[in-house]
Amino acid sequence: MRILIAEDSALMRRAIVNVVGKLGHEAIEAENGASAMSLLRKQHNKIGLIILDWNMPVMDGYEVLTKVKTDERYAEIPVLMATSAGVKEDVIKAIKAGASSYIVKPFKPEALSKKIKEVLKGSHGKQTAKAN
Amino acid sequence: MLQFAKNKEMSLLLTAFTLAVIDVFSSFSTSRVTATGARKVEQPILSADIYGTMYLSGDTTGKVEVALDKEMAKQMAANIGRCDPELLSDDEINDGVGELINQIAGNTRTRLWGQGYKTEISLPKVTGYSNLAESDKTDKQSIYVIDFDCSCGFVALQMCLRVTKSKPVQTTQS
Repeated sequence: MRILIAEDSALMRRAIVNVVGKLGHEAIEAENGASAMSLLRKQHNKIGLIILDWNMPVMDGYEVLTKVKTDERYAEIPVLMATSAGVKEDVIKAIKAGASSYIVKPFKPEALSKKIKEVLKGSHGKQTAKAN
Repeated sequence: MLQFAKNKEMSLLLTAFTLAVIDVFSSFSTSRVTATGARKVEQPILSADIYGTMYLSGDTTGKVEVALDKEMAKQMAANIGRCDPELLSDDEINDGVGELINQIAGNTRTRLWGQGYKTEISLPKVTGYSNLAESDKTDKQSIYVIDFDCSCGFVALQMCLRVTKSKPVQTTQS
């Protein structure tokens, strides 16, 4: 599966790409929300998950999330929000906007790996239910 | 709450940033990081190699800087990217410091919202010089420096802050 990672820190992206690779998925990288939207327009049929940093320059993760979830071409793609703040109001806002899950930085690779598996499992369950 | 200042609100702010630095640094370092105290200063620290600056708005305003030496910055950046510190370029080290500051900002924001202070913190600015000038001080603001003890190298927090909302609404800590 192809996973789109939008994260402005190159080092943090490297760490996330490693986790995605170890799970056997292919990572495509965006350094801000605008680049993520551009990659999504071109490759949305191949993308099975989006991992979004909340705080990014140009276009932040929350704006990308709302664009993804209000566009029928992308709305079915699960989104995992990664952010440095664990403010309850933010979590509720992201979940209401359609995020599948939320992970607070700093996180260990194992924690991210577990979250990705959970989101993909949940998304597969939803798609199976829809097909039935 | 750590007793850093006579003013209760300022003490709360200093505590939030201090605990955030300890939390974030501890997660990327095997060395123990402890705060050794706070002091009011006339001039900010200007001798560090790298400064990560955050700008606050909302119920608290002002600037907060994390001052680091290059060795500490390199170690932290390598731990964020899970790579060899000796292979990192200066740009990558600055990128790592930016992410570190971003995480400290997020951690602090969570603590402040939990105390009822709805504060927003900007994306970090990473520079080789301090962005905290003496001119940032007003008659009601002081520059505070928090010193830390860590075997990885030098790290300190310096800030010039003001609480704009004196009686915050208490919210439940998330």
